[in-house]
Order: sequence, then structure tokens, then C-alpha cells
Amino acid sequence: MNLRRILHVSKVNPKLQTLVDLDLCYNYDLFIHSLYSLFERIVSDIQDDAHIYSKYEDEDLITSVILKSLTTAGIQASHDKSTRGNPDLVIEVKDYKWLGEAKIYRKLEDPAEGFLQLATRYLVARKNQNKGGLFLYIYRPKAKDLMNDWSKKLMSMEFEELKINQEKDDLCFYSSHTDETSGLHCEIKHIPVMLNFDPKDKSGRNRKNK
Amino acid sequence: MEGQAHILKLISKLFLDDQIRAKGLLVADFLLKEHSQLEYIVFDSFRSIQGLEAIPEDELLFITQVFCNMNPSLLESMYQLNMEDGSDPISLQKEDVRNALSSGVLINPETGLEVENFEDFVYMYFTLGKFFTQNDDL
Repeated sequence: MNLRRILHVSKVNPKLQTLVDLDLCYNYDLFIHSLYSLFERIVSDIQDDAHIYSKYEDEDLITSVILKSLTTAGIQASHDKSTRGNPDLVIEVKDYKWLGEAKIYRKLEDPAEGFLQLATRYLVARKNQNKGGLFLYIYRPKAKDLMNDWSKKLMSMEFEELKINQEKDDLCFYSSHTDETSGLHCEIKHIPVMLNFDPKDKSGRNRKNK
Repeated sequence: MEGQAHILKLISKLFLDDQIRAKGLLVADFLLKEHSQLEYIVFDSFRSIQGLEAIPEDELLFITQVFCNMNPSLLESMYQLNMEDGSDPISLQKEDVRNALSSGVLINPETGLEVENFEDFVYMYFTLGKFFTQNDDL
């Protein structure tokens, strides 16, 4: 099959675009870039259905939606068991690995606990597996303020060479630190999933209460 | 064999759609049985499998790409530039293909000249993936 056919077939079936893109990743950073583009689409889809998910406040439900979206796209993703515990998301593509933890953000201790689990238990920075992510399911309003509060708290935590990098006009941010176990650099993306649904108009209120 | 049982279990989890899973298992079965005879695999090789003669292109591409991306991989995708002018095909690195797709320009590594309409002359094919190359017991 030549590239023109592959591109044509991939246009018809968007799942293929992601898979072909991942297959062409010849280093870990490209894999991470492709994965984060996919996360953006998955999170956006979930947020579009906030009127449904806001009724439940169920961490496992949202995580299972993310897992199913990844598996539907043909990606090896699982809620894995390992000797170091059970991270909520383990994604493996070829030799590349990414670990994720998810928490409902009710109070500041929630993302802190998720970060500690991920950074001190599940994620041991190694070649091609030194990045992970913390999904924060936010049912409260003003996600930006909550993410700012969390990044400030994170900076007060004791991690070697801890740094934060916030992208402009983005609620996500990245943190990096030296992994205590391996001594290698590791990076964690902090990803809010905005699930607040509190319409003030009459039909919106009715929809919320259905 | 433990390796085969593990890979078949993994494949069963990777395909949510029953029909695609069944086709994926046919491809896996073909690879597991014939791997010692397979040096290069083209898309038409899979159409020789009983039950997959009429498999749609998108399904076959999906299955092969899942097999390339899984860990351990069953397939490794390769690319070559075949100018179809009687010259020998030229191997391309994934980096070359990725860069060509993002820039819209592919330079022929042998002539140094830009390949016009390169999408028509770059072909994907496969070799065996790490599951086979790192598993001596098969």
C-alpha cells in the first residue's frame, strides 16, 4: 500500500490517523507528543458530555471512558497491576511507556495524593518511560484557579530539582523533578478534565435535573 | 507455548470489535505459523489468508498498525521508495517519511533530488516484530 492510499484510508477512518502517526514516532518525545494530542481530543469529548458525567462524580467511570477511548483507537492501554501498585492508566506503544493516575479534585490534598502515588510509587524514570500524567477530574467551577492552587502547592512539596512549566492559554501544566529511585529526570503532565455543569437558564437546569 | 498464549490474550484485549478481533487473530495465527518463512510481508500477503481475501483496506491497515504499535510488536513497519522505473527500491527511515509528511517534501536519498508526488512512490511493508526477533523459543 503506498502512502497516498494510507493517507486516504486514514482520512476516512480517523482511528487510523493516530495509529499511523504513532507508528512513525521514531523517538520517545514524538510518542509523547502524539499521545498528548490524542488526550486533548479524548478530554474534549468527555468535557462535551459534562452534563452526563457531572451527575455521578465517579472517578472510575471517567477513567474507564479514557481507557476505552484509547483501546478503541487501537492503543495498548490498561489499568495495570505491577509490583509497585496499580496505576490507573498504563499505556505501552512499542518500547515506550507512559503511566497515568487520576483523581477527583475536591480539595488540594487530592491532586497531591495522586502526584505522590505516581511520582514516588508507580513511575520509576527509565529510558523511554520517564513521563506520566495526572488527570484531575474537576466538578467544581473555576478550573483555572484550582489548577493554579495545585501548582503552587506542588511547588511547596519536596522534590529534587522540581520545576513547573505552564503553557500559555492552557490549563494543563508540566512538572519535572529528579526521580528518587533512578536519579533520572522525569516529567508529569497535569491534565484537568472540566466536568462542572451548572447552567443558569431554564432549559439547562431542566437538563441537569433529568 | 507461554509466549504465544500471552500474545493471543493481549490481541484479544486490543480489539474491542468482535469481527475485527477475529480477523486480527487470523493474521496473528498466520504470523505465528509462517514466521520462519517470512522475510518481508506486504499487504497482499495477508489477503492470502483464508477468510481475509476480501478484508477492507481500512480494517487491514488498522490490524497491521495495532500489531506494529503493541508491546511486544508482532510486526515492524518499513518504508521504501519505489520509483517504478526499473530502478531498485530504496529503503527509507521512519524519520524520512515523517519529515516528508510534515514538510511535503521528500528528497531521494540516492539522487538528492526532490521526488514529486512522493506519496505515490513510498510503500509500506512489514518485517517481523520484536515478539519474533526476541523470542528464540518460537
